[in-house]
Amino acid sequence: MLEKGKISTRQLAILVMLLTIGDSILIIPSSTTHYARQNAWISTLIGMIAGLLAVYMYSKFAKSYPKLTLIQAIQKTFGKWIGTIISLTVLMYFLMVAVGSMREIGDFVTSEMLPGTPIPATLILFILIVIMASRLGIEVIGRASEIFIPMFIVLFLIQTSAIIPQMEMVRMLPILEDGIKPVLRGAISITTYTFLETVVFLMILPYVNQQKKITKSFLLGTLLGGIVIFITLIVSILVLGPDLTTRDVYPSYNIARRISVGGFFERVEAMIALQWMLTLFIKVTLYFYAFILGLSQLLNLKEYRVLSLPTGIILVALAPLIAPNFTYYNAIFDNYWVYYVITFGIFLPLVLLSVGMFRRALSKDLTSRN
Amino acid sequence: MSIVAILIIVAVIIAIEVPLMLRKKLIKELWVFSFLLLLGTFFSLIYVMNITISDPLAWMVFIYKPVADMVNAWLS
Repeated sequence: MLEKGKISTRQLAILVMLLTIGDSILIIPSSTTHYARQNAWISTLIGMIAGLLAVYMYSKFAKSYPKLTLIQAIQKTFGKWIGTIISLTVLMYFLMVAVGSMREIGDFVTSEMLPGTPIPATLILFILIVIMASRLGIEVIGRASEIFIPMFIVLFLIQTSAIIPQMEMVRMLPILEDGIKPVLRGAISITTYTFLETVVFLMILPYVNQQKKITKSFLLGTLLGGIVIFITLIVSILVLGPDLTTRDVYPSYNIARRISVGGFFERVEAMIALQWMLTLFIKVTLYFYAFILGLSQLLNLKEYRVLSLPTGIILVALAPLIAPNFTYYNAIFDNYWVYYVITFGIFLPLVLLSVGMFRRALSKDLTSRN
Repeated sequence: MSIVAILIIVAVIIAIEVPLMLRKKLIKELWVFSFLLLLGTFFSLIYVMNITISDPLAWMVFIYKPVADMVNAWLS
């Protein structure tokens, strides 16, 4: 075994929750509101149902391929040649998600917090922590998430309750004035960005110590993460209204800027930046870890940690290269990236799952005939 | 200047990892490591030399454009 660490089911739930929140808390409000306007909260509910179904499918996947990561399951199902090709596309997907998240960190820090700082400076500092975490293994990542979660929840509750006086219910009206179609288009964005990216856990589920309780904690983590996203979206709509939410690049950051309680509790936007950094750290770390672990499993290496530093260089260099500017990046992500995620988040696990079920039914049939 | 910085970083990474791998006789790992490092250096050099890639995500647009057009036509 390449990875000897184990994580508990509670740590799994926390990791799922933090990854679900991940970068979606940063970009989802403007992306979904762009399509669904003030009905974006309905999109979130639809997306949450779709996401829970997908997560249920992932835990079924873990049951039908016990002790195998996604890469190993692909190898086993499709054989050597086709399996290698499919595995490489999956690994590239992991790398692309990590690169995209790094890009978002770079854009956010340079445009809102430290203007003038070169992007690589931010990225190198961030990737060093990610490399350190992935070299220490999944067990340490799980424990770190347990330390982060109380901080995240307290900050989130403070910031949400401090903005309550500025909410106005009238911004939510009219409900469904254009029918259900724009809401569905918004739901596609929210399902893929928020919930389908938990597909990376197919690389991590074999390292959970109580395999029987996976389904419950996986669903619980997704539900909690979905609730945080739901609250973020509904606060964005009630405070800023659909127009400002769509035009704003980082709506939740702008909301934190407006917090002012009694004239002295102000300028708390650093709080939300801290939350983003924590959740994005978990997301990039898990995808980075899945990439190097999957590559080592594909090539039958004995050690995966040696790949972390070169992969770090690739991430830092690709993050600014992937898109020339923010507008291009956003247009691509809104229109095409969602289907890229659907390919690996729904289509591939579904194919593997049905092949596995078919094989088991076949072997059961053969044994019963004999 | 930045090219020198990149070469220094690459040299440091080699100095950290390679002796350990040689001592443990991880030859296959060394090949994968070298490949990834070369790729990383290549991308970094492209970045610092300001070579602009006009449409880096064109492959994604090419693959998913039919699906995207279909869904957009249906949901608008």
